[in-house]
Amino acid sequence: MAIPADLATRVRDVVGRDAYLDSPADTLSYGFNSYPLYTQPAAVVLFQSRAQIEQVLPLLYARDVPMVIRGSGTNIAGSALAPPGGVVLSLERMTKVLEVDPVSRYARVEAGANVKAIQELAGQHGLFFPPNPGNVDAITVGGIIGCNSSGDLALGYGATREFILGLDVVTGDGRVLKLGSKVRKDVTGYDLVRLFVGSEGTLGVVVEATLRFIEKPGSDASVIATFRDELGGAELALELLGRRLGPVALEYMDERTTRAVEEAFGLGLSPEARSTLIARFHGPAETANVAAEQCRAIFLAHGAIASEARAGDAAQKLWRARHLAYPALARVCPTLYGEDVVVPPRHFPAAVRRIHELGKAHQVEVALFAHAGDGHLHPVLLTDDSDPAQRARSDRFVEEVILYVLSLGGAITGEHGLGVHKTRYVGHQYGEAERDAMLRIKLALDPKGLFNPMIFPVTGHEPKNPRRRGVEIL
Amino acid sequence: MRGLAADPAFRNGVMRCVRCSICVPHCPSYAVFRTEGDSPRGRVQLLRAAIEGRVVPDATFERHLDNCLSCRACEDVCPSAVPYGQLLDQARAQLVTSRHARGRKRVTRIVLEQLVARPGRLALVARVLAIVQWLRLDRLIRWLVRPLSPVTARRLDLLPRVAGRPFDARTAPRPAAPTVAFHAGCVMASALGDVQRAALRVLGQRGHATLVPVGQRCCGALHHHAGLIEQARSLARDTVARFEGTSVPICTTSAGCALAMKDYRRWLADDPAWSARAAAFSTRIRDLVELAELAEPAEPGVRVPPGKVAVQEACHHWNVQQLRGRALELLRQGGATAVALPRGAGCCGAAGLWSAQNPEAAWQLLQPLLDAIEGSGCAVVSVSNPGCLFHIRAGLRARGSSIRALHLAELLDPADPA
Repeated sequence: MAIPADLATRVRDVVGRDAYLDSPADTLSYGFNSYPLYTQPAAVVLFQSRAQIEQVLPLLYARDVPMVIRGSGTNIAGSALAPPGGVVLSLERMTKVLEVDPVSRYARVEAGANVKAIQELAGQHGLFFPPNPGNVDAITVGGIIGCNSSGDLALGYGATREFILGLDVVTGDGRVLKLGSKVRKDVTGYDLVRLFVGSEGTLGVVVEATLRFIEKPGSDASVIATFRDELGGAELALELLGRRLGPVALEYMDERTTRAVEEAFGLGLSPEARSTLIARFHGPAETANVAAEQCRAIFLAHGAIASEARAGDAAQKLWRARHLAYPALARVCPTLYGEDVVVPPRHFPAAVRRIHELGKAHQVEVALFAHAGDGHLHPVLLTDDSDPAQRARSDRFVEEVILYVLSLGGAITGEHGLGVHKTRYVGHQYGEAERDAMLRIKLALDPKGLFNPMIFPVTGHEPKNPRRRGVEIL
Repeated sequence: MRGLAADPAFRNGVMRCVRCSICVPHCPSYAVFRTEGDSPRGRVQLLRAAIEGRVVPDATFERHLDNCLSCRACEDVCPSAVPYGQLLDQARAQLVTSRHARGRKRVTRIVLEQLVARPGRLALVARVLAIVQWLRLDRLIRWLVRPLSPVTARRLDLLPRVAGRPFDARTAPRPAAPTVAFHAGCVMASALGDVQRAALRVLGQRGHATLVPVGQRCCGALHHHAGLIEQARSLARDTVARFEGTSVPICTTSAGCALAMKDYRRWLADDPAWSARAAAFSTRIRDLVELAELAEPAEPGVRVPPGKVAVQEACHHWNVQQLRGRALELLRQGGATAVALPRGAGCCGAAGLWSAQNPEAAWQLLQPLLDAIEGSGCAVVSVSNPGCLFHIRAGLRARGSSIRALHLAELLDPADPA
């Protein structure tokens, strides 16, 4: 479906000729995320300012054009995938920092601002912005808000949601909802800020956010340890949580992930390593180092092949390697499906075991890394999508993993969002009553169901198999 | 792109990209154009779409590929080891004869084939340019052109300033037992003759007997980047042949040429008559910043100017060749107070002919680097690549800055304290 010429002209009049893209090469360039599915939108609008969004959105909405909001296109579940015939609203050029108040500890920024830049901004004022998802170099503030991303430091500090004080959202009719405030304590009315955080762009366009900064920790130390068996690391992660050392991050990598990371980043890990644990400690002056030393002693006492504490550049290299474990796995296999399930941390070692068992049972290759402290697992399917039999086995594997984590009281997605990948599984976690409540909220804010329509809940009908649907789009 | 679709290595390379976006913030063309198609990830996905038949390469497709500066910063940070540089070179080679942007391609081809690849003509043009610049006619032309075409005026801003008479290999001594060979280059020899003579003195001071083979032509790096693969291979064969007869290391003063010549083994891998010769040649290549590997200085301390020296590291040093910090180290060994420029200042935007094709974008990319140079408090900035040197000099000149941009060879030159 092409965008009507008169509508395209009106949009161009607002954003400028160069910021409205509709050539095939350009629209294809915006038809992907990190999720292995390709679509082709009818057009892409590159916004420079919220004023442009306020003008363009009602034009598109009035003409029933489906839309998706895209920051840096890193989503692994396909949360920012262009709807067929729709328009990509790109916020990648909206990167301004609008206000910083180091005393009140907040910053107001545009939604396309890069998260690493925000972390550095906080650091310049002696403050700290904890949301730290793996792809921090590239991701946008709007992206982590859309998925309530958490990353490794969520164990110590919580997910993105804890650091959003206010949002400015543009709705389909061009109205601006100014939600929240600049203060932490605010119970005025419903907490719509929290509603929008994690809503995957299905309700409106977040154009600005007020972010909460906290005090920078006085010390920062990390410990890495490798183990001879895959479960050893997972079990020790649980043991470590019980020791109350207070890690702010506790990460696990299985054998395949350890090898891929070692190949990509050369951390000097033992070739015998079958699993890896990395812990990080923050605290007042020197306390992190003390905790890290205690942690290292525990690792060694529990049979670690090697364990060492790292700080400064060496620690940064370590965390970079861990953060980029997912793309490093592309060295093993080019088609990756990054799963994202959560169990109560008590069940973490059992979940690691069960997921590997399910992989074997369904004959799918699985690598696994995890935010162990949160019971948040990222099994990665190493697969060949061109083989329908393999694809069917992968689908069955994913569904069984989902049923398993739900049986433990977990969640089917922790930070990637539903995306087109998991929309079809919502019914496993929520019944009709819950889904109906969500649908009512959706329709109250987006009555035509035009924002990110490939994601549940849209207008009551979910795509049965988004991957096949994607192929049709091509 | 049909040929590429059937090439398993190309397909595997493209498929390796899982679109993680780690490369995107490191890409200078994305920084300046700010569209996905002008990012490495976007380009690789366009190539994938092309070989899968989802897009037919059109003018926009080609523009996105042409907008790449070939700095290979993306390749350096890619966790998935996507061979980006190789993919792009192959794709450009396929598109070089396409009907899109024919005029621009023809101009590029003429410049590369009729000028850059012909040392005599290049030297002549350099001499004419030197006279024009000495008479300050370039300023007059710029002043006249500016109201008519600001882009052309910007191009004139970026035109190389000729430094000294061309370097002539025939005037260099011919040692009986050389310990190092010297790659004179094309633009380096024509427009930066003083730098090449300084480099020979630096090698001499380090106890080297330097052989400069006569009849050298362009190494083919610019041709390769422009997709003129056959011409590049022909120049590569010619260069390899010129340096045969000895097995001594080959020193070059250009980061771009060093990378290209180290890549000859790949360029000529499928040529049975040349693959072994090219591989042997590639292992001999040493960039001037690898000088420490060639020899220690005969006497400690080289004469460097007083005060601090800011060190700009060319993309082709920083990425792929992994020669980070080497220029800094050499200058410090020589007694200079060398200051590394923050890498955040990034690519200068020169990138061979790219700056001539995209003068405004090149100018935009240069500004953060100039800010960093001026903010460093240094009176001199050390540069190790001819394109970067011309570009940075042009930028400093336009700002009216008193900071001098000098090639590393000039800073290490024992005979001429810069």
